[in-house]
Amino acid sequence: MSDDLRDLFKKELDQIPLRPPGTWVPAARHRSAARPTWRFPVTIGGAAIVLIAALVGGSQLASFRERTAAAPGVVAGRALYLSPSFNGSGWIQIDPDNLKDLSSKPLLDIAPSLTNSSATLVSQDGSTILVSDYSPGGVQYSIYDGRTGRPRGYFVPEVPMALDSLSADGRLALGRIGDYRTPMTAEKVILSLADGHVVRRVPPTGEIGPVQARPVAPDLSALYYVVTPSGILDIAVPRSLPYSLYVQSTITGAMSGPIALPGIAAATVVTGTVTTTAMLDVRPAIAISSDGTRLAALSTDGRTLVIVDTRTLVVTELAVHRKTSLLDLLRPLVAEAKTLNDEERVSLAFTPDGQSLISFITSTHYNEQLPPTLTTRGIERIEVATALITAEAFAADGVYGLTISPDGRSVYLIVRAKEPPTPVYLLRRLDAQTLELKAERGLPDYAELEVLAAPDPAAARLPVALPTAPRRSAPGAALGAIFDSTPDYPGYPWIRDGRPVKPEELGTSAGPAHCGWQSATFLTIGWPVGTLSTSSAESRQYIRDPRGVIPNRPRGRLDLNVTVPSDARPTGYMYGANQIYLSPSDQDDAIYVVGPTGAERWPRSVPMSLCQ
Amino acid sequence: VIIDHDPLDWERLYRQAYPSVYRALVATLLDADLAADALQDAFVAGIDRPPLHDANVAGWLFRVAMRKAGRTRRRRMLALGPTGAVSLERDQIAALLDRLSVGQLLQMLTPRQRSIVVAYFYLDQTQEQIAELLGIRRGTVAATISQALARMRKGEGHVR
Repeated sequence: MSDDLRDLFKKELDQIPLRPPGTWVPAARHRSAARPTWRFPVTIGGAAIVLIAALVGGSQLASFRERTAAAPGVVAGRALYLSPSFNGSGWIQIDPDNLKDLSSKPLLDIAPSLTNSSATLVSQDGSTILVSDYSPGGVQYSIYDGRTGRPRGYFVPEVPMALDSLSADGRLALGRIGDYRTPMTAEKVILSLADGHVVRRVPPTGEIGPVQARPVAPDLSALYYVVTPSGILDIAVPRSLPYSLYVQSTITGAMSGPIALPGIAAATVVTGTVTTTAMLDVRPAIAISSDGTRLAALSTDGRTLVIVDTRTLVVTELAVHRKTSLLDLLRPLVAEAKTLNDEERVSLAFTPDGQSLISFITSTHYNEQLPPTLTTRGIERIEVATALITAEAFAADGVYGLTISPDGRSVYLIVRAKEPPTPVYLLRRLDAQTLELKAERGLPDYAELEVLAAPDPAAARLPVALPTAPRRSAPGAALGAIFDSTPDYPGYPWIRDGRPVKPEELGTSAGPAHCGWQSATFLTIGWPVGTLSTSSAESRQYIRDPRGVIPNRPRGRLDLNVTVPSDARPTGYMYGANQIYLSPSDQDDAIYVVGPTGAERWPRSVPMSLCQ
Repeated sequence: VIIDHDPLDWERLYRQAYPSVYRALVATLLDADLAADALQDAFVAGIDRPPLHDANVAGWLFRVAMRKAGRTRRRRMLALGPTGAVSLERDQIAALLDRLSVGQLLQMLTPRQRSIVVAYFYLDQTQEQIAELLGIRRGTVAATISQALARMRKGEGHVR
């Protein structure tokens, strides 16, 4: 029997065509060539869970199809689910405190698929679960009610797309046009999950460099590209290069300029023994808060935390510190272990209230003669406001996944406590405040276990607003809304390179009221650009005076709806999504204020207009 | 025989094993692109830390490539994988596997069952070697092969 089957296998499988021998060996023969651009940070993946999905009826692809949900309210609250991905049984509900099985009935009413090739997105409010099945024959998206586990129907996009994100309310989906190979910088679409219609197209970003992470605002209104230094993987020498952030509005498609993330860098270091050195690329961890107001980046050494306020794009750099350190005693061991690593992953997740971050670092050992071993270097709770480590723990076991409960009380870890050939997987619950172990249970021999913490009903009260369409009829309206009521000196807080700038460098404030000029906006900029002015000779003044209240009219005309000249360049100054541009051809006469929905040309006042 | 660290020697061994391992990976993963990428990754891993012995290079490559494929697949599932052109070859190979009786049988099995069955019947790995390669007990290998054979005999998938 066996020999006959062997012959049959050889006879038939040998028919599989080979690729040309020239393609067998990779062109770049160093380890880093095969590196992905981004390791999955657990924070964003709190809702993105790998599990077996199935084709729930293959023929009804025409459109979304409603089904009657049964027994609502099964999931909502503090429920916790395990997903054993290789048997396709879906999530099993367990007790969030003692981790014991509560029900053997799977959450999702799905059958196992032929291949382990599915991915799951869960909307932040827990209302919607979307399973993408990448089985051969084409992608199929199935929608489930997150509160009952019942199938609602199918998502059939109007255009081929690689689905990346759901809006927090589960009504919209964001994806790249194309398939999973499409770059993160490519054109994207936002679609209605109900009927698959394209709500909006988001243009490509242009050349911004390799993207490590691309968090998205909960309402899908903005994309945050965390960009790695270009070419870091291409040079086999130790190096360290800085990261930057680009923000793209999905409403207008407008891109910000690069915003530096100080202290955040990708690095290439040499690891290994003398005879088997390997290049190791280490990358920072990225997280976005559940309300989308803050973006966090933690440096690879865990010492620098950068917080970006996504509303103002102000960047705050903090030194991570501790009062006392348990890990200090263990650092020599960590350093020793690191010399054998060939991968290091730092992960980061905001607590639901956005006040703290949970971080863990897993160093992965790959010794190909032995099963790989994972060593978690440490788990830390970091206070966002001060970067103080308020709790930390050391764990020798490899961490496979991390989830924070919706109520913020617990951290769930999936660890492999014992390596093959007799691996032991455990689910652990830590107190989220102290990181003390509170409960533990064994798990079957599944390497892909994940945890879903169903959201608290309170999460549904998040102020999630659908993005609105661009206002085509009034392209200057957004800028008008800002500068028709400019505050008095010091005016609006502009930033440059993520840092607030002083009014002596750039200021926009209302004209003095005692002259009746308060409807005008005075823009004063240090000259040359980027310098602090101490006198009028070191600055220039541009004026927005739509009502003509200033007697000595500035040179040139105010234009509230202008096309920016092709040679205009951003100065780097930003206020929210608004930027200042200068054109070499007419910068002596005007300055351009560019907003998400339009641009204005403000004329220069020479001499400066002063209220006597 | 102890393998030295000469990359050329490793490449020679790799190229010798490539055809059978590549086909085994395609039959297991049902994805030619994934198989080719994973095998290249395994080659790179071998440059850094080659297997100690050359007696079972095919088994070593199969194991390492399977693990690399798992990571690549997870990245793909998360839609964050490396970029590249869409391969028409994948559809052609899928059609081939649909036509082959072995291909049809393999598609009834779980990925884990496929990896064991292919390693056993195509790569000529012993049950002990498979147990060692996959980090499981020999009894599990034997039971899996037995279950897979029974399933293939009955012509049923693992869906029910």
